[in-house]
Formats: sequence, C-alpha cells, structure tokens
Amino acid sequence: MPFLMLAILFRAIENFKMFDMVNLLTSGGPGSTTEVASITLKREAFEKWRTGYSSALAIILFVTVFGAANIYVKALNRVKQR
Amino acid sequence: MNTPVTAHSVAEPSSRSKLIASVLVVTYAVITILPLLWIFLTGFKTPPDSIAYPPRILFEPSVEGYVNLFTTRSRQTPEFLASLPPPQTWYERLVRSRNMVIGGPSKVVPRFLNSMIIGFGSTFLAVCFGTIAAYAFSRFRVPLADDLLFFILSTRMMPPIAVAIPIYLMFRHLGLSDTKLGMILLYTAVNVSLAVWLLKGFMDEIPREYEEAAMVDGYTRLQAFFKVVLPQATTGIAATAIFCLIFAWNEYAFAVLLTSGEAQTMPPFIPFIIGEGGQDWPAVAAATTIFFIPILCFTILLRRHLLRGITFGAVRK
Repeated sequence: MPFLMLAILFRAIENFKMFDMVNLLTSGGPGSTTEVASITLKREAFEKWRTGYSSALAIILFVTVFGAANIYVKALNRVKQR
Repeated sequence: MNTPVTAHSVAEPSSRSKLIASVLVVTYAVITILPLLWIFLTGFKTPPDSIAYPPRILFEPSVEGYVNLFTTRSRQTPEFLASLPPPQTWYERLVRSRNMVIGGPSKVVPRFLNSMIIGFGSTFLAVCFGTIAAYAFSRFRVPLADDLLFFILSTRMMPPIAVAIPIYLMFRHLGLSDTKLGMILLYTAVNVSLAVWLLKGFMDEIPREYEEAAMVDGYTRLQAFFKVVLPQATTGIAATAIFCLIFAWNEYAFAVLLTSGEAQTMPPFIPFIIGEGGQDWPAVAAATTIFFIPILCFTILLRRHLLRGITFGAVRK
C-alpha cells in the first residue's frame, strides 16, 4: 500500500509538470485547448519574453505542488504507521 | 534458494475472474505493444511506404531508414553521379540508387554513446546516494527527518522549463554547460529524490533484527550494511535503478535546453533527424528502435532480481 501511494505521488508530480509530450504532440494547440501550465510558462517566457510573469507563474506552480504533496505525504505517513 | 518458490494465494480465483483478468492484461499488452511494433516496422519501410495512405502493413522490407540514420548524404545531379567510380559497398549502392552521395557518418553514434554514459552514470550515482541516504533515514534518528525527506522530494516539483535558465547560468559559471559531467550531475540530483523515497520504503521493510544480530556477532555497522542489508534490498535497488534509468534515458526538456553539441543525448537528437532533408520517418523510427534496445535489455537483465525479490517478500512476511 505505501508503495502504491508513493507511485501515485511521483506520477502525479511528473504529470503536473508534463512538458515534453505536450510540446512535441500539440505544443499547446489548437489555440490554447491543450495548454498545460508548463506550456503557458514556456510561451510566456520564450515567445512573449515576459520573464517576470513566467517566473511568478513558476513559483505559483511550485507552491501548488508543494502544498498538495505536503498534504498527501501526511496521509502517506499515517498509512505507514498503521 | 534452491527450490523454486511460486507465489500463490490461499483462495484460488474463480474461472470468471481469471477470464476477466486475462482479457484486461491482453488488452493492455496490445495497446502498449502496438506503437512499439509500428515503430519497429516503420524502421524497415522505404520513405514512400512509411507515409502511404492507407498505412501499409505488408511491405517490402528495406534498410534504407538505418542507412539514412547512420550517414549524412547530399543529393547530386545524374551527370555527377555518372562521373563517380562505381559504388563499393551495399549501402553506397542503396544511397546511389536514390541519386545521393554519402557525405560521411552521421552524429547518431556519439549521441547514442552520450545517452549511455549520461543515463547509466547518473543512475549509478543516484542509486548509490539513494541507498545510503535511505538507510540513514530508515535506521538512525535523524533530526527533522520528515521535513528533510520532503525537502528532497521538493527538488522535483518545479517544471524543468522553469529551472532550466538558473541551471544554465550556474553551469556556465562552473564550466559545466554542454558537458557530460554536468548532465550526469543534473540527472543524479533529480533522480536522488525518487531513489531515496523508493528505497526508504524497501529499507523499512527489512527487519532491523537482521543487522542487529549481525552486529552482535561482531560485524561493524558498515559490514552489516554491506553483507546483510544490501542483499536484502536487492529488489528495491533493482526497481529503483530501472526507474532512474528510464527517467534519465527519456529526459527531454533539460536535454533540449542545456545541451547543444558535445553532450547532446538521443531525445533531442531524434526530432532533429526529421528536419534533415524532408520528413524521413524510417530514419526516425530506426533511431527510436535503436534508442529503445538498451533500456529493454537493462530491464530484462534486472527482471530476475525483481521477481525473486517479490517471492522473497511473500515468504518473509
């Protein structure tokens, strides 16, 4: 059970910041229908050159994952102790 | 372990649930294997066959994709081709029949070697550090252990695209940009978090009494670690090594942003093949097939450890 939860944790983090597959398959298109957060980040930073905006977005992403993972890890530890 | 141990549950599953399970497994296998099979077949097609519609399942096999992958070619006029001496080897003949001349070997071999060095190097380092750190977290009373573990995990949380520029600046100051050492260190840093978390789970499963008994018998802590704990943790180490290698092997975002020549790995190189003189899908498929082989071999080699470990665990508990 802890291993299953660990796998979910790592996959969730990886998929939250998924970049390469989206970039190669659709690069966020058509329009912005498949634009995940990391694609927005890339577009803002390297196409519109709004570095400050995209840095702020990166921090927001990080804090989101950090918070969600924190709650999840607390639950994981409770499962382990049982 | 001399007698083969087979895992079996106490209650034999009913034939209906067996049927459902096998249908699910077969469906999943077909879904995952079809793209691989398609890529493998495309590698042996000619370029016109590869983009034919409807897609050709039966075709005349050709190694043109592989020849195109390993060489750089240039298109020449028929007059110039006629003035050349006749082709010496079979691959020259093949290229000549497409009105082209071989310019030299392509960069695929150095790129492949880069992938091998960076992938296996970083996996080795990550597993070494991960094992030691996981042992410490599992056995000793580390102050703020939970927070430290979470901090290790948080190194994974930023999207690579966001941290690539700071890392690039750091690498430039340290003289590591576009070097194999730099990429090994970077992938090790990313993989250590996975290795520590996975291995800590495995280490917690190994009873503390084993090494305590060894230490009572006169082993030092280090000897007990190497002779008692490590053999027990083989399963965990093998699984961790596979996951670390798969990550380092397939990593695209860091590789495309931080390497350009010297240390470029296969993932950024494969899309680069598409752009060279038309869309050469057979060459891309050939590159993907070759790229896929080492990780397949590695997983098959380690699979024995994985299976053995699973039965070990079932017996021990």
